[in-house]
Amino acid sequence: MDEGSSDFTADVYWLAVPAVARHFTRGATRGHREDSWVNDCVLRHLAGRTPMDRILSIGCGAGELERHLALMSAFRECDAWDLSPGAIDTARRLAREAGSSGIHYEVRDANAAEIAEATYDSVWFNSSLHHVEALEEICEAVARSLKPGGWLILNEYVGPSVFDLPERQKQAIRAAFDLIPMRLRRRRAPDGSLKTADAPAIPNPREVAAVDPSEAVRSADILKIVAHYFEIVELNPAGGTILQFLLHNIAGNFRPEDPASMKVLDLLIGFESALIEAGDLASDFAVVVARRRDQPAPPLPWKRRR
Amino acid sequence: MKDSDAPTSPQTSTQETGEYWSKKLQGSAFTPECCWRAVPEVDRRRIFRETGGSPYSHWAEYCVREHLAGRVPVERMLSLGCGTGRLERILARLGAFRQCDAWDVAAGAIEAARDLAHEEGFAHIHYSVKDVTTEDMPADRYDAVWFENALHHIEPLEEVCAKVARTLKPDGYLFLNEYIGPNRFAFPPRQRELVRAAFALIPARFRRHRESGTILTSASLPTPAEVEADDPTESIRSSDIPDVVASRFDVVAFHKSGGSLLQFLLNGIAGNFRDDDPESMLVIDMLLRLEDELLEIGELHSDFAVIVARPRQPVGRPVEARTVPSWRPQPSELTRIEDAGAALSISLEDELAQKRAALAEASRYARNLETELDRHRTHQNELERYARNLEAELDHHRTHQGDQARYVRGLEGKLAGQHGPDTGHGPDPDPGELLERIRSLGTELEGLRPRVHAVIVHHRGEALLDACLGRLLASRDIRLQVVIVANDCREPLPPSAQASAGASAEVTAEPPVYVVSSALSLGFSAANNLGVDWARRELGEPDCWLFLNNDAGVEPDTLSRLAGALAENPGVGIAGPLLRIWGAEDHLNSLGLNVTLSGEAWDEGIGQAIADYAPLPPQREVLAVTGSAMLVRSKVLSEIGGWNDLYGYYMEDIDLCLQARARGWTVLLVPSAVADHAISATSDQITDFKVLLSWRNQLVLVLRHWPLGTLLRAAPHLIGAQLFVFWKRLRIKCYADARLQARAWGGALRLFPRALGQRLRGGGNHAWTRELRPAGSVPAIRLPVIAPGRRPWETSAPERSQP
Repeated sequence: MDEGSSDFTADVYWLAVPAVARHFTRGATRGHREDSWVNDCVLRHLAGRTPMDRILSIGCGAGELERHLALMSAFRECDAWDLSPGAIDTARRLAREAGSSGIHYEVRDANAAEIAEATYDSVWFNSSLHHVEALEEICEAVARSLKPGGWLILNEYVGPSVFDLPERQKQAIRAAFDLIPMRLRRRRAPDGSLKTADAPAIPNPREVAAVDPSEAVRSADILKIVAHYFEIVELNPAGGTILQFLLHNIAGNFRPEDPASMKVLDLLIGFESALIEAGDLASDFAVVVARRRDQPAPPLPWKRRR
Repeated sequence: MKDSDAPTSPQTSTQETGEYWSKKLQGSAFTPECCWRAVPEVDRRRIFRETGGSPYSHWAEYCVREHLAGRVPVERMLSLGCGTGRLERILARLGAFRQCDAWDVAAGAIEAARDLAHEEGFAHIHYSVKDVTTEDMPADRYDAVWFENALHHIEPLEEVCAKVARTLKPDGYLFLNEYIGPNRFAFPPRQRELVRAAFALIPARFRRHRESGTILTSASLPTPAEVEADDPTESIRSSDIPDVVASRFDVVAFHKSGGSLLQFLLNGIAGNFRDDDPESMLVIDMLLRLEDELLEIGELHSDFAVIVARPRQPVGRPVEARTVPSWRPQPSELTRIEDAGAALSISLEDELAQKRAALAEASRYARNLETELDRHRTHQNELERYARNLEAELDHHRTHQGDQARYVRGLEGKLAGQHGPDTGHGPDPDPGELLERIRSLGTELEGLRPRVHAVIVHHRGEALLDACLGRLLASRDIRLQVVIVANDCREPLPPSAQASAGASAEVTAEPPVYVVSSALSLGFSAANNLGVDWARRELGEPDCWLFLNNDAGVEPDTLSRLAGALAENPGVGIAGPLLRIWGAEDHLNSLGLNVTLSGEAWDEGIGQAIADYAPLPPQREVLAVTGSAMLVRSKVLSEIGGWNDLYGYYMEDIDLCLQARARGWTVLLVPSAVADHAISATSDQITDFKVLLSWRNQLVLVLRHWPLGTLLRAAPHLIGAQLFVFWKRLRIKCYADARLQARAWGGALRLFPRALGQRLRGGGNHAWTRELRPAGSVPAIRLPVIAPGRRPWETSAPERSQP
């Protein structure tokens, strides 16, 4: 959503470490690829169905996803919305520079948007659905907006809402952090000096809500609600339960030219996978490939939040 | 920190130590439940490190084979702090010596060691209660001296090492396997932090203490005071061992065997990690990797080591020179020689470490290259597929564009014709031609859809077949032709089949329905094969075959979804739908078949409410799917050569799936494809004949398919259970059932030669045996009650179908 800001640079952002990104993608694609989950969706799930006539990307940010899809000739026309005018400006400029055609950017709030019915072959969310509070409404609208058999594809944080982590997860993150050798815990402080972190950056839910009230607002409900309105074709857990928080601020210390750091990183990745596989932790990130149901979804078995 | 075979050696308070260990041996300090090395995977990795990565099963075997190669049996060995004598017995089994002396201060231990050696008939091991710190050792007496977890209990290390060096022959060896970590386990703060962190990463259920049953919240690291109070000799100068040994011996090999994390990490919880619990193995594997990697990057130091050393040889002199009494090195020369020796051993060690690192690097590099190559191959395949798709798409567009242009021209022409003759447009298009073109386009589209031939074996139940056909004929997006095999059918066929039940087949509907009759009553397999052979001859080869029971109904898109799954996954040979219970459609009939080691089979999820079973997996590889409704890739059926008529009824569907799997195909359950099966309609009538066949075919299936190893594994349970049930039936005087059971055995025995012949011809992929469930794991099954009137045929006529 705000890829432009300093939160996502290689020094601090977990997925900016190539080895972590490869691991993430292996999970997100069921081990089919290491390069990109988008490639996997297009080449495996949508094989033979591209170019799609019309697709929609909701919460597109600076438009990385659409440019990627355009490069793969995955669509003829693509609508892409975001509520930030700045992001849309950037997206338009980058699309022009890349020579991608057929993308129609628009400043629009998906929370309130009325989406045209039976219009799209696929609808995409790339790290945006976890900012939406009215999940039931948007899922209903998206299901209606898809052509019969149309696809919903999302790459999302689906872990604890507002990052209110359970005790066991916090314990595992702290323990994993203690395993990291001191020299790999350096981080750059806001004033530019190097500090050694003595504890992992576990977020405080109150602060999260204060900084961005939409951040992970109902992320823990996403899978349940999507499964209600759509037929899940594949749900690929991509991890992140430990690594997202563990590597925050210190990601830049793990570099291929420092083999010992790669060994430690490999271990940390191994820990997360083993604990998720052993059922001790859940996966906080997932790529979901789903399709529109033939019949309209039955009434919700739970109460709507609002 | 020791083996269950805890040895010791004395220092100042040797008396106490001796008593302590004599007692401790009877206690539980080193029970398998609590001791870290009792975890088999940990022990395997420790041995791997102790032997420097060589393939030996014990460090002593490594020492004998690698360092005493060509010399065994040697004349005489000495084992110090031998405890209950496990090491000497291992050496004796290896034939390593002619005579062996073994000492310990604990009289209790020596007594036990004597008994154990006597039991194995080892009269050439001589045990004595002796204190290594006070006892004299004759010079030049031994070919090898051994310490196993004993030297770290000794305080006067220098004196003992000097004595050992003297008592060794000049070409003799010192072998030791010892704790060399911090004295009294006074671990540095970073190591303590690492142990605590690693402990916190262990999932709670593996942190349950084996004796108290409570979940431990932190690893139990003892304080030095506690260690001293417990055993005053415990690791009294352990950290000095490497230096003291190196100062008096030439170190030939130094294998760091780790233990720096795991020794205390698994205290009391080791029993939770078992080979048969895969999740615990994931965790232990992670912990072992952690220790290895932290050792490798220097974040931890090895707390245990195997050291192989030789008495220091004078530089530049042959070994015999040592025995010449006139030669004595001057003190300054001695220092020089010692320095040179130490420098040499350090540089050799460095070189070795470098070589090892280079080797590890090279093998990692090779592995990376392989992965890379694999990725490229996959990627290339994908690109090729992608390019092919694009081409097809382009072609399609070209055609489409041409058609559109022609159509527009035609319309314009028509319009012009209506407006009068004075237009400059082309001639009037022929509406007939236009219609013809649209029709041909339709045919072309139709040609792209998968061809499915459905085979339905029918014996009786007119209304039943009518309901089944009615749903089948509504199938969408496939090219369907239906072949009904009227198997000894003596009643009229339903109007939806509307065929004469004569020998010849004829087209009666759209999609076409054909009827093939057999006046003879055939088994299920033979009847299916009759339909398949006829269809192949008269209708040609389809893309896939659908086998459907006459009491099963499909949804309009079931077949296209199943065919789609086969088309998308080229490795899948057979696909089955999610089977619900007809009349109680909120309940499952089958999500694939489970088979146990002893050949019992049941449907996954049978009788359970679908809502309770959720979430349903998107696509699920299964061992087999039921023959009530299955789609078989045409190539697979040809490869197998049709249904196996060994069985008559029951189990032939599992046979078909296993034959496909033996040829490397997989079987897929596609929950988005849904069908209904009238399960209780067929199970109401239980006849002796059916019982006999199902009992017999369980045995036939096992004899036909189980690979020899699996068969041997299954045999005890299978035979035991059969005999037990037989005996029980006789006990309760249920003679009819006992007779049936005996007949089932006889029947299976008669079919055995044919099954054996098929085994020899079948495929060799036995990966499926891993999916067999444990014997006797069939769950209790409860079927829902079907409300009257829920099934179309039961309202009119209460007919029953053949199984």
